[in-house]
Amino acid sequence: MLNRINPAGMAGVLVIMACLVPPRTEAQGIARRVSAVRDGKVRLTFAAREEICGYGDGISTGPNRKSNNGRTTFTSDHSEDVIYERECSEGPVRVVITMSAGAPERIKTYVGGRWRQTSGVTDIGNVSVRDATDYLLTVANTQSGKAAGEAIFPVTLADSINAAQPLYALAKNSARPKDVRGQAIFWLSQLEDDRAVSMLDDILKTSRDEDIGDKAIFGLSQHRSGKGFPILRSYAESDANPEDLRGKAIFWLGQRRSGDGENYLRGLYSRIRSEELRDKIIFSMSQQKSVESNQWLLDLVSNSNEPLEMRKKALFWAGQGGASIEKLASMYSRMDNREMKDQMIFVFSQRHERAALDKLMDIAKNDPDREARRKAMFWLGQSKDSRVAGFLSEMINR
Amino acid sequence: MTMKSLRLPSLAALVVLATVSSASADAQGLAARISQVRAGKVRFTFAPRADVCGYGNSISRGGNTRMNWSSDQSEDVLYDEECSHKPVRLVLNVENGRVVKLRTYVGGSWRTGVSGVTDLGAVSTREATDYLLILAATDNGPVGREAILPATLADSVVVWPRLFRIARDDDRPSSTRKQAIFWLGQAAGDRISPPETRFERRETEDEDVKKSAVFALSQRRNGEAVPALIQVARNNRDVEVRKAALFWLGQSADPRAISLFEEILR
Repeated sequence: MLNRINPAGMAGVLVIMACLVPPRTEAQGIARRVSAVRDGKVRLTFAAREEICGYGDGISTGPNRKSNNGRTTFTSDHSEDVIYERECSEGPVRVVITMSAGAPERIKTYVGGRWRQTSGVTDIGNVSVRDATDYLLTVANTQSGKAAGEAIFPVTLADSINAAQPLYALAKNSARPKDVRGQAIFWLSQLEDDRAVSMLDDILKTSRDEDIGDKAIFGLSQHRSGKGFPILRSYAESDANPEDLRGKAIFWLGQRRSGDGENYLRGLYSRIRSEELRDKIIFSMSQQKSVESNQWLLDLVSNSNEPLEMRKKALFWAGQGGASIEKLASMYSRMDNREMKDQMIFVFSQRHERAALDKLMDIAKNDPDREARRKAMFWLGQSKDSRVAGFLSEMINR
Repeated sequence: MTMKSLRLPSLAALVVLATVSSASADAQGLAARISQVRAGKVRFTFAPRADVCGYGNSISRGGNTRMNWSSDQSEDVLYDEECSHKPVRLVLNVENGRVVKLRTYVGGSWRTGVSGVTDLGAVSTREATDYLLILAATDNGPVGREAILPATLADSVVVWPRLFRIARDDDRPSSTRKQAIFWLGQAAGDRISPPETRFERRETEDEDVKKSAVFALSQRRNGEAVPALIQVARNNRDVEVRKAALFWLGQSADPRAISLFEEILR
């Protein structure tokens, strides 16, 4: 029997057990003081990270926070518990726990300001960062309901605490509700610590739950270091990964505008066979909104070796992007495929420039293809342009 | 209440009464027979126009090239041919002495072995349309709207003058008025292009595209295109294009369209 125990598995068990070991007695002290309140609000404060400040209903982080160009603003709830007298109010972190039947129901987080004077609130006062974060992580790891997820954010604001490891452990814990794990992944992605990237990578590669994988992909795309993008690229490339998640990776790769990103997506398109993923690449390229990406889409439209559906999608997104009506009109005249013509007519109908309407009227009047004329007329009927009624009357009565 | 204040309304009331009474003892007879049923189904038949046929759940008007109006499931009628011409079959659902649902079929044969059905047999088209149009002019629920279609299917009876009254009656539910306007548009279309002249006719490409343009015009918002559609309906060289304009005007519920229909039908 002993021979069958896997040492690596044993180590894993020990790690998990370490995470489940009851937190330190000081944190238990806070928990006891909080849970002594059956119903009502309990508030406490602890030291905040230096680069954080609060104002009204927001919390700002980053080196430029005082100029209000902080790198991130996390909107918290309205400051019904805290009064602010200046724009960027530094520490402490203020936490308000709403208790219901002896359990935390909601947790609100503020930074700076001062408490509003209110009756019926139990104020625990200032506590050590370690005690506060131990308590909050215990809530996140054990409680159900919204409070468990809401307990994570204040942990990330605490001074001199690296929250990466506990958030990683929480994110990996499949016994916890998905929304709590999702919160842990999100806040992990917001940490400056570059180790968070490899943790997110590990979550993505080991989770069997697509929702968690989806959140890890988002987290990798959001990490400030940009180190998540190479991971997303290799994830998108691999046929071994679920197609849906590969599509999500491509989506987030497309949200980062860069020449390098465009080149990568173009190359990926030629390497991937799945139409579903190619569709995602076409969309991602359309989000680049550059001259080069638009030209790539138009080249795809003109390439008769490409599947029709891909060409239609490329045309749609080129039309939604900045492709000029003149260019599209000139392509229309060279099109010999009915479906592509229909799609182009639709694209014209979705543009609000005068030139697009002119082209639709030209098609309705002069195109030798009856179906094209009919389609153009249909879309003219949907237009708000005042010239349309006169044009249609003229067509009917000529 | 003075005599003076009574005079005008009384005159109007007399006109209405005269209309209703000319619409008439026959209909009252049919209505009386129907009203004897407190609950269940009442059915009767009458003669249809020549260009009407039914099959399954739909009724076709004006030959094979015309549109179909879907009716309810044919839970009351059996069909054993594709286009069954006679008669118009009406089934009224009655609850607490009130008609709550009306189903219309053309052709086929009644399903047998159905209990709780009072069969009034064949009635004259006059009697049937009088009853149906009184229902349309008085019922405030869906039955008022449902009564209009079968009235338009009756053979040798002119129903449009009474449809105009319904179309212009602000006290009628809008769905009933819209239904009346729609069928007035159809009647106006039939007047400029009788159904019997349309069989085996092939649509030209030019006509097809122009009809698409008429539809596109009809989609303009806020009645913007109603004058243009009226102009097409009056003057276009192609009668089918004029008819398409009348069809879409019939969907508009615009008072200018009703006046045009009246001008064509009178």
